[in-house]
Amino acid sequence: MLNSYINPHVNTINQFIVINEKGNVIENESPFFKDAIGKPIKTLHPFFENIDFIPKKETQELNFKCVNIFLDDVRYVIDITIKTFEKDTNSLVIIDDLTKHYNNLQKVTQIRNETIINSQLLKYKNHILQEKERFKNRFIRSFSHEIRIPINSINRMCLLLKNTNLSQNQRYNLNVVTNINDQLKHIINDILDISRIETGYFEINTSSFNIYEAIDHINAISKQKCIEKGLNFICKVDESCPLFIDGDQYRLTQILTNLTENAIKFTTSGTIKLEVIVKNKAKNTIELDFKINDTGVGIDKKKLNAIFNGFYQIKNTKIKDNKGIGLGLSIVKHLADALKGTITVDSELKKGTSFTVGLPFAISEKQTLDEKIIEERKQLENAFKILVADPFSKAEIELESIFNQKKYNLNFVESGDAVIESLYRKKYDAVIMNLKLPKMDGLDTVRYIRLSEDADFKDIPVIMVSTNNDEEEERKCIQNRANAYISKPYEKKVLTKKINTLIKEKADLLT
Amino acid sequence: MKISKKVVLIGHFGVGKSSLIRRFVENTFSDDYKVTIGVHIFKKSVAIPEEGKDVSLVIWDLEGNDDIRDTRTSYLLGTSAYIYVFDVTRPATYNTIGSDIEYLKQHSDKTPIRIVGNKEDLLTKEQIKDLNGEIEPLIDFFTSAKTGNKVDELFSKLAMELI
Ligand SMILES: Nc1nc2c(ncn2[C@@H]2O[C@H](COP(=O)(O)OP(=O)(O)OP(=O)(O)O)[C@@H](O)[C@H]2O)c(=O)[nH]1
Ligand SMILES: [Mg+2]
Repeated sequence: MLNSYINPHVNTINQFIVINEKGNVIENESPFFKDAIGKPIKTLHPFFENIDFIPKKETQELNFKCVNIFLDDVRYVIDITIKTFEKDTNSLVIIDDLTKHYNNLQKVTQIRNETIINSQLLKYKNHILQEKERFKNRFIRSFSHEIRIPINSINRMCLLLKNTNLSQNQRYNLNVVTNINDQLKHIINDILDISRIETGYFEINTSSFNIYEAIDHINAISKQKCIEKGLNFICKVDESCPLFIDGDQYRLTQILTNLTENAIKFTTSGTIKLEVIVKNKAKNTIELDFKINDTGVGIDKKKLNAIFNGFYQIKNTKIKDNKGIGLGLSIVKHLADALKGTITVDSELKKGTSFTVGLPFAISEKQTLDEKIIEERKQLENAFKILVADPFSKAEIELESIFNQKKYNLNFVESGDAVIESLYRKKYDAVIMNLKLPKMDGLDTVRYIRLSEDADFKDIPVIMVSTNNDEEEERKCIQNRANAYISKPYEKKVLTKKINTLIKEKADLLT
Repeated sequence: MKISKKVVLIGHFGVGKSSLIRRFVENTFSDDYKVTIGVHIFKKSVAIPEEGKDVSLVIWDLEGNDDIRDTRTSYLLGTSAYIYVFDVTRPATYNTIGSDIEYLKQHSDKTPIRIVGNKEDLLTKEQIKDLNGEIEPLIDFFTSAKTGNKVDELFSKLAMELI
């Protein structure tokens, strides 16, 4: 330790200058300042110019370390000590030449300072970039909000127009306008989504969820869309995947629906496949690969890198419903990043595309379904599943009180369209439907059901409900192959009896 | 004898203390950073025609550090004025400006202190204005040793005030 203090002084010769009361040099042993004797020390070097503050007749020692001086263009780095004495009016200046030592110190300091400065500058540059980015995103967000107002107004005006007398041509054109406006809305929502992700306005909510159920849900939606387009949809979950995992189910769903929708959009025939593969499984964590394959148009290998940038679009004139812009994929990429996952894509033109999203999850502590839930599920499986379409507010309460919860499981919807959608998604045992429904009314709906090709529900028992108790109405219902017509208010005995016999009849028919 | 005043340049490393002095004394500038260790002492006389006087400024170029409390206090003895320099592109060099000034005042209460934001050539007027908002009331000059902007003004005004 002491050596580091001693070393610089080894081999150095102390130089002495003595000055008198007036500050004139009276003795000089320093080779630095030749011919100094008799001169005011102030004239030797600017260093000495402002040392008037040094008290005389006091014993004191002042150290000035590491003073750079140039003499005949040579740089020296010296320590200067000035000593004053109580009993002497003369003072002593001691000069210590430590040039070599300080030169080494300078090298170290140079490197250290440069490193720190560079990192500070980098940090600041990043900060400025982030500020810019934040500004841009704020702008996009408020712009997107603003633009929604006129878009919604156009929508409303279109609806108003639709209800007026229009020629076929006008109606067609109006439809085009409405569709374009819908697309615009879609784009704006996507942009908003991206800017939310980028600005961190978006949250990740982690909770334990049933992965099989989550995939099942996506399966239901996607299958429906595929059926409409004449495509097959296959969905598989690796059986070694635990039942419950911790993660953000909402974001996962967003990723997978975006990718499957994309696949459906760019595929005109063949199969869409969603697979969940266990890639890595540790004690508490698991990595899952979500693979979405399609047999669609494919993407040019050269363009694969670009597809995650916003607004990329696969050019293909054959695809008529080319509503999409590439923002969906950009969102997926952002989401995958935010969830600390990866996304890769593989594709061959005209053969198809395959996206793989790898995401990490924690394996939930609890892996068993609650007894209660199991019991409820069992009940649910055994219960008659009845779809009710009755938009009138009291219907739900009335029917819930009529039907025993254990034996019957009721699902309520409010429109004819919703009836069809629900039937596609889930198997029901019977439908209770009000004749008066918004958009597609009860009669149209039952007609649709009977004409549909879907073996799962085309023969489902349908009970029509009306407040009119009108024979003519009843005749029409039966003509359209509803199974029964009852009038409101609902009566427990009538309704349960009807339902039970209809379901039994159908079951008998099948066996 | 000519009036001689000791002016000390102080501030974080790399803010441009040596460059400001070189611009003032030699009217040159270099983009290379050569760290100062210890202290360099320069001298330049400034004519003040209004008073018919010359002032010698003995300018002490101190080594920069992260914390000015680490400055060797002997360097500060006999100082007539401080120029506190920071780098407008590095917040780390001006974040502690308030407490740094406080420290210098504790040291010698009556000594004037000029506060200088250097490297103004690297920022736009708007960026300078934004920065100004944070430390506004304190700053005396925005200088550039590179372009020479406000460098002479800084030293000559100070010289005038010191007589
Ligand atoms: N663009 C620009 N660069 C500057 C300016 N002043 C100084 N620099 C650069 O900043 C770096 C540091 O300058 P110096 O003058 O050595 O800084 P310093 O404050 O003396 O640094 P230390 O001696 O370590 O305390 C050098 O690379 C200079 O070229 C300026 O006004 N504009
Ligand atoms: Mg320097």
